[in-house]
Amino acid sequence: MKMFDKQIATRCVVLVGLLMSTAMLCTTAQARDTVDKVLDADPSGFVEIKHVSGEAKIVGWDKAQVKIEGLLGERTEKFTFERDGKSILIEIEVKNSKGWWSKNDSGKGDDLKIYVPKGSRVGYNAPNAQVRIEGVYGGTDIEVVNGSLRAKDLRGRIRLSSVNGDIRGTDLAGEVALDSVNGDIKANQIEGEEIVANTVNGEIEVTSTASEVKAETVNGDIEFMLERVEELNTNTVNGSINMRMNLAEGGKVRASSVGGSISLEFQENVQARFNIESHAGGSIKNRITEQKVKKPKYGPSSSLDFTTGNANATVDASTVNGSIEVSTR
Amino acid sequence: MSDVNNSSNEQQTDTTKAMITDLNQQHTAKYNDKITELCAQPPAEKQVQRDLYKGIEFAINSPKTSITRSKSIIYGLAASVCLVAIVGYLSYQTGAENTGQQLVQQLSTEHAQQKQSLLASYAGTAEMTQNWQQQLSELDDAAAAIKQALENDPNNIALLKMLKRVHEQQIALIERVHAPAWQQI
Repeated sequence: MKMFDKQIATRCVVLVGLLMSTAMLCTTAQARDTVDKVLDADPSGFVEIKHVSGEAKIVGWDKAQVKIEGLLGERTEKFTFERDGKSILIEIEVKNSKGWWSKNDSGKGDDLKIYVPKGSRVGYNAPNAQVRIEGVYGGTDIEVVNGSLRAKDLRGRIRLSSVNGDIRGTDLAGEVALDSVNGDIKANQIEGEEIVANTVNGEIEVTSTASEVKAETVNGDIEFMLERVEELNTNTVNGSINMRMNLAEGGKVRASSVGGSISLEFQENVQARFNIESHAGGSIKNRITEQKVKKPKYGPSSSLDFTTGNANATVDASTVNGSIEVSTR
Repeated sequence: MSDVNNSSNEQQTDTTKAMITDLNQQHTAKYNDKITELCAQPPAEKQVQRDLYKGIEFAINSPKTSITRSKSIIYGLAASVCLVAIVGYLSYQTGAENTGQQLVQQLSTEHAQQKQSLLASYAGTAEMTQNWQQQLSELDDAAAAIKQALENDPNNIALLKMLKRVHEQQIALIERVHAPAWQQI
């Protein structure tokens, strides 16, 4: 009988333990606080958003208000939503863990939707978040470390930056700067005056009507389709550059590589002065005219100089020991 | 009546013509007299100040050796100028090469110092990517390749710019992967 009681007691303890664990899990799940707040805002003010992980969607709207709604992350310690003059700050601080930029951070992050006046300038940074932003016309400065970044319908000075995550942009107009370390950058319908795109290892793929273009990679690949180029500066260390463009009258193209490859493709009737140099054993290919590459009697260098049409534009390209090819469509 | 008037008009016309002819004749006669008078006067010639022929004679009879000496002086001067120009050019060339190499050396030294101090300042700071040191090493290799090309062409602007850019990329990479801004959140 005593033995029977002992078994029942053990089972009861296990049952209570299970119930307590379930209750704790439920409590943890319910620990994600809901947020739904609104503040009046300047229609062309500054909205700064800082958080650590999760997802955020930022949308420009016609109201002179900033609204935040959604769920705060499990590790949220402090939530700030305040106005100071023309600036509004949204900040979510978390309890410290093993390093907040680690991809293995446990727990669910924030899940937020933030509405800002269309004319606002938005600054956003988060180490591990996925961010989407659209319809903001006062300028944007977005930085993520490991998360991805999606941008659509932005105007003004636009800077999208990531360390390991990918960047996707569509319909961006103004001064556009995209950069990543390991992430890939893909952007189309880029309009306005200038686009700058840099990556260390990632790939860059851009379609743009911007007249001034700067693109740079260390080991990644760059592929641009440019509708009308007035000024193009591009360089790579060991990656590859592939530029297809319509070179404007009086335009300037400067391209360089250390060991990487450069391919410059122009419109059929391009009128430019070409000056191509290889310094230490690289290769040069001319697919525009019959002009041959010149090699000095001694030394590893080679060069190619020629003109087409009235030569009102200039194309200067150089490589240490990579390859350069110029061609027309 | 009209015939009488016509006859009177014709007489007046004839009289006027006769008067004009007479006046013309008088004027022509006076004019001719004046011309004759002027022609009779001797022309006012300008007198020569000195005898030019003496100078010409001296020039023709002067000894030819003076011309040869002048030429020698001119040739000598020209040769000196050429020599100075060649020496100057050669000095410039050597100086320019030195300048190019010095610039490469200076850029490399400054960059190494900047990189070391930056790495030291970030020592113990969390890194946001795992592969940044490999990328740094690849950029070092790229800089070495550019410097090697610069040994053959020390003043090549494109190569110097490339070297500078690679140095900038290294610094940007170090800053980026340590991103002090992130640490403040």
